[in-house]
Amino acid sequence: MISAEITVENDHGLHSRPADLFVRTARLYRSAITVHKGAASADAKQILRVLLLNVSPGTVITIEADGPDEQAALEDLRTLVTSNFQIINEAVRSSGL
Amino acid sequence: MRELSFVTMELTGINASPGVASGSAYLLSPRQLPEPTVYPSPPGLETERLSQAITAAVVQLEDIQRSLSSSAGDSAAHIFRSQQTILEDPALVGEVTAVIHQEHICAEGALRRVVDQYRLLFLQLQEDAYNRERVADLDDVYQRLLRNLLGVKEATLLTIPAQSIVVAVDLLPSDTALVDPSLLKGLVLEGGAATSHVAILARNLGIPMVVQAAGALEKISPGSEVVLDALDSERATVVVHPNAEQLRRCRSRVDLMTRRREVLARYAGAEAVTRDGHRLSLSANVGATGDLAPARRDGATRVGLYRSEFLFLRAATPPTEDEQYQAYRTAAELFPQGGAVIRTLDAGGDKPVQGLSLTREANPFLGARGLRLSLTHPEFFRAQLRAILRAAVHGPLQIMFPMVGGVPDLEAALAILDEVREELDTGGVVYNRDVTVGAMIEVPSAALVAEALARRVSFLSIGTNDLTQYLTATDRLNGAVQEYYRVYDPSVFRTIRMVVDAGHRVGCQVGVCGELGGNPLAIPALVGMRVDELSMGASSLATAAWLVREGSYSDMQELSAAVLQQEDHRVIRRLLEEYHEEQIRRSGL
Repeated sequence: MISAEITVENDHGLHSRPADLFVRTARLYRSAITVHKGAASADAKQILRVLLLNVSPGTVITIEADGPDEQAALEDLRTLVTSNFQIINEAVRSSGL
Repeated sequence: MRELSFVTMELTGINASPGVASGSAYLLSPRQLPEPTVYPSPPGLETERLSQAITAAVVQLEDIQRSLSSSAGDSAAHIFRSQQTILEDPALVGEVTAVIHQEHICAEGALRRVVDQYRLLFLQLQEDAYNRERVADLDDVYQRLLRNLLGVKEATLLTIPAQSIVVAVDLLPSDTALVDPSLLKGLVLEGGAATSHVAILARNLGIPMVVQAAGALEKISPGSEVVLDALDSERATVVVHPNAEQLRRCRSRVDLMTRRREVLARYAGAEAVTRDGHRLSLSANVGATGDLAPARRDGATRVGLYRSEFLFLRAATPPTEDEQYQAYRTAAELFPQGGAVIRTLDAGGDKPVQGLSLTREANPFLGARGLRLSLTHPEFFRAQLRAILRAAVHGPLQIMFPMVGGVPDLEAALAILDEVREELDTGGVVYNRDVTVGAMIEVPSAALVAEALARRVSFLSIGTNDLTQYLTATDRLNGAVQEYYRVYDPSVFRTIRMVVDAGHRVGCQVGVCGELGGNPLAIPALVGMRVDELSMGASSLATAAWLVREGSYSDMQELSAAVLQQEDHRVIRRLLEEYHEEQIRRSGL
């Protein structure tokens, strides 16, 4: 299992479009992926749970990945968040922006 | 006997989508879906019904996305892409299926039970939690699935009569997605929020909308004449049974808005010369190669700020020297007359960049940003400078350094630039020797030594967003202190004046490239302060040209003198508004 701490810096945090891109990126991987915000956490593949975390701008989140493709999953999600949701996985991009 | 004359009535609400409209009220009572009284079939069959309803819903949502991305743009379409993601959640489907099996109830009942639990969780979020409103998307998806399960037709506004002003308690995104904008003139909601997805759709479709109009359904009867005035930035008014005078005023305002748009459009690309002959330069801020052609369409002849960090932000790895060369060359070739000012990498702060491994900083806005970051990564900095110097062979490019804090930073950057030129000479690489250099003034320490900086460069450009942030010590991304981020703060105008004077004393041009430079209220005062160039989002250029051409320099000087005497940002704002209104009146707009 590996994890990374990231600060969410885009305008509104993990709200509708960013949350959607985040969840659809997580769903590309077989690993179990969890987002932690303080004591709360959510399954990164469940959009409603991620929205309910209500990650606002400036929040530090920890992404935890556990499984055969954990490295790639974590890297992909980190890129998405640190690029302010500009760098989007091709598979997500092609299934609708 | 029927009463023929109605009493005029006014309701107020919050402006969620600006505009003016008149039409007749079309009341949409809260939707009543039939209660799911289906006697449950075996759980396997109920699960099958659920999965068919989901498949149908995905198809419907994809249709909406296709139709919206052409009519209202991708941001509108994405609302429904997000709803599709909710439907594609295997966990959600799993929860509903589990309830079907455990409780032996129909799919409708199980769905409602699961959705109710989630809805409760959303409503438990803090009042100000941004995602609290996303419960509307959950409800929208729920209603869609329920309609599919019950075989009920989609309850959109597809069949409204022409000239309708729709009045409802609240609307879901699906209601407004496929509406015909030629039939729907306005929206009046008793509930709703300006940040809702319905509001985004309304703005993209150009339909005026009022939310939080208390008592609307009770006070407005079906078919009655309604005037909707949402021109003020916050408040909106709904007039029911307007009298002849109010109707005439509304229609003339609709005409006025149309005429104003047409008139302003004619100023796109016009030279910025005041009526008494004072001339300055108007240019565009662009974020990436994709912004260049649209900027030209909006009348830009010069790029006053090319934000090179977007080349970095959008790439998985930092762009190579040659990739950058190509991008800058495109800018040079698209603006052969006015050219483009390439700002070197302005990463850090709110814009972290891949590959330039930024360590976590406690105060990123006070950390390794802009030029500071470039100076600690000389290899990237050199590659970028080489790319700009080489691309400048194809058109007039200039170099600008962001986040200069004082003379030592600037001298260090200029020394590297000299080394890069020598390198290119020795390597026999073709480049433009005459590329001029400028420094951005955003940090108070730089503003206070502006004259010393101005002696070392050809131009200064004031970045008002960061300047305001540093002058007022207010993090512009921290919502809790937004009231202290004062756009019209006296310190901002006084600093601009000081920097302009310092530059001009040594023959150095001074421009403004922050938000303030494209702000229609601030433009006349900035012109009055003898700013040489205003660079702004290209869509603001036409309005800026109108303000300059239809005003006189002496009036603007008078305005700026008055502004510089004020001690309170609220008074400055009022002065600027008064000038603006006067100009609109003078121009007959």
